[in-house]
Amino acid sequence: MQATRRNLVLTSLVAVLCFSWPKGSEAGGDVLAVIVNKANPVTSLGQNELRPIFQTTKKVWSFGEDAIPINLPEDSPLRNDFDQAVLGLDPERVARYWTDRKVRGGARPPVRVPNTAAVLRAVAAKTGAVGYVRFSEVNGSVKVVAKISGGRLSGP
Amino acid sequence: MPSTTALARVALLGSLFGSSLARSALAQPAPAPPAAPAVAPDPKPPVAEPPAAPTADASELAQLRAEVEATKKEVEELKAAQAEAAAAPAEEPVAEQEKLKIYGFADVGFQYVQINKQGLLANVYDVNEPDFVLGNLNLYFDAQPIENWRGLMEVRFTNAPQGKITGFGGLGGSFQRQSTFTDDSTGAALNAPLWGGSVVIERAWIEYNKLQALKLRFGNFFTPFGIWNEDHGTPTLISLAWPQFMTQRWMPLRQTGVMAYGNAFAGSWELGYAATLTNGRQETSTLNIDGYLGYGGRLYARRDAGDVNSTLGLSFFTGKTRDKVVSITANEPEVIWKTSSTFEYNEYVMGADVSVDVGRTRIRSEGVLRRIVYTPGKREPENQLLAPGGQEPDKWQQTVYLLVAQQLPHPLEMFEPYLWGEVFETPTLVGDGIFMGSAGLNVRFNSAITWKNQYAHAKFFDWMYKSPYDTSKNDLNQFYSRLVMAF
Repeated sequence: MQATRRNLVLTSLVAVLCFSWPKGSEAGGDVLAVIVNKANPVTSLGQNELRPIFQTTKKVWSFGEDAIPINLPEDSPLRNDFDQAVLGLDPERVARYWTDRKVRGGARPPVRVPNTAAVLRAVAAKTGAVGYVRFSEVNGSVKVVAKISGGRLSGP
Repeated sequence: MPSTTALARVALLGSLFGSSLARSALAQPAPAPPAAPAVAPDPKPPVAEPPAAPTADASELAQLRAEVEATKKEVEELKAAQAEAAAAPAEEPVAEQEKLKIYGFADVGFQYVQINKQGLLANVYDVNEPDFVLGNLNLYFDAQPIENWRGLMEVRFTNAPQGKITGFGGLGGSFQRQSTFTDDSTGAALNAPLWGGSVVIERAWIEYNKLQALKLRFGNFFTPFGIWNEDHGTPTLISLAWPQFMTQRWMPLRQTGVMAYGNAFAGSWELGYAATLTNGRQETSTLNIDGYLGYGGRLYARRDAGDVNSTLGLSFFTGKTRDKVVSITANEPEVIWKTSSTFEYNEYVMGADVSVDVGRTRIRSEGVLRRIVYTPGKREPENQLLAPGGQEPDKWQQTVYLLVAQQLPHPLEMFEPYLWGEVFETPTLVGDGIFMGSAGLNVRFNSAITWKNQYAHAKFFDWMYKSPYDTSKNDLNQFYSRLVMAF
């Protein structure tokens, strides 16, 4: 009887924790294109190049222009896919990362825009900008330098 | 029965029709609602659909073809319009950083520190009672008014020095406690009470950061030394308690001057440096009253690869410090001024640090070595209560700590217990060795709110020197609990 009650309490506790713990957004599942301005001479970008740019620890391209990473909102499934593939972090850890950076007084996070149309506009307008959109949304105003599919980053 | 060819045509049309509309829906801006049900057929192959009516004939197929063509045309028009909109200069500003951001952190909670009532620490500080406390209330003003320039000001609001013990009773002394009480002269009542506090400037600097390899920071900044002074705040630090080399200020925690810093990348590694030229220690004055500058620096290598992150760092600081005392030695026929110092020493501080994050495990370790050499005749007095007439010796000081934190697996990932051990050696009258053993539990409700708890036991002992006093009287047990919010 006592054991049953203990099991019940433990089960309830686990259930409460499961339900109260915030869940990450569902993965978008879209194929993403990492895009840069057409004037950017870079033809492809790997994780080692993209990660420091989107962590804002690297702020200048090799050709001298300021690197301007453009992010989507934290609750965007595309943003979650991108962060997982490029930073290797789930949404909770991304949030912690930026909280820690703020407290340390580190450089600001990337500029955030509301949607992929705004990403396309920003990347098309600024030479040093880099962002990501669905592959199907890419148009002639930008250049694709990497692709993210199935959570993996690959060449364009 | 419809023929196989007819079914295949219907399947092809259904597939084309569905995928065109799916592309059309995808081409909309992200937050747009799904297409209206009337134009949102299942894009899957028609094997999942009910078979076309047996009456499907050439006219129906032609009608479907026409509809598909119309839809395709519509999609092409939408794509063209979108491309045009993206290529055209937008009227609204394109992705700009905010010129001023305000954020911060705060923590409140509970603490209980237990020490032998005959110990020094038990009487210098208010302990042995349970306390609810207001910990940090820090605000950041982060300004980026123009490109490549940034200013960061962090201030802390505190009730200190309200209640600080400033004098002891007995043996000719009188007990005194500082009060910030005053009347609120602007209050709505004549005798409205008011307790003042302090605003501490944690840091205030302006930097020019155009170049990756050479950024320049001017003003008041945290000394770039090791892990703790960089992590700085309760939301970021794993432990609530500080290592002893921080509380005993083996290096100046913050300095005023200029800092050059930068970094470069090699594969997955980031290599960085910081070099400082400052007024040195600011315990006595924020100005360079001793005439000696402080020099410091840090080198680090960081690999940030998602699941396995590591940082190796080396830090140093050196400076000469003295106080400045102004005296009048004569006043006839005119006032003669003389400046001198009561103490003067050189210090050399070196630290090495390692941070490793592997999955859910976080490991932090720092070792610090400090050498102090006094100028002959300029030694500081030791604690005169314990050693009347005593003077500080030249000394070596050394410490190392290891902290291991482990976030629990799903569904208990909100819990992060940790263990911390610290050994600290410095000659003092209450023993030259301190061992701190600690266990803590952080409960992270979300990225903004954490409940942090820590129990620590500090043991004083004779390591290399023999103390004339009972070192165990200062052993202490402490429990801290803080609810921390980052905002």
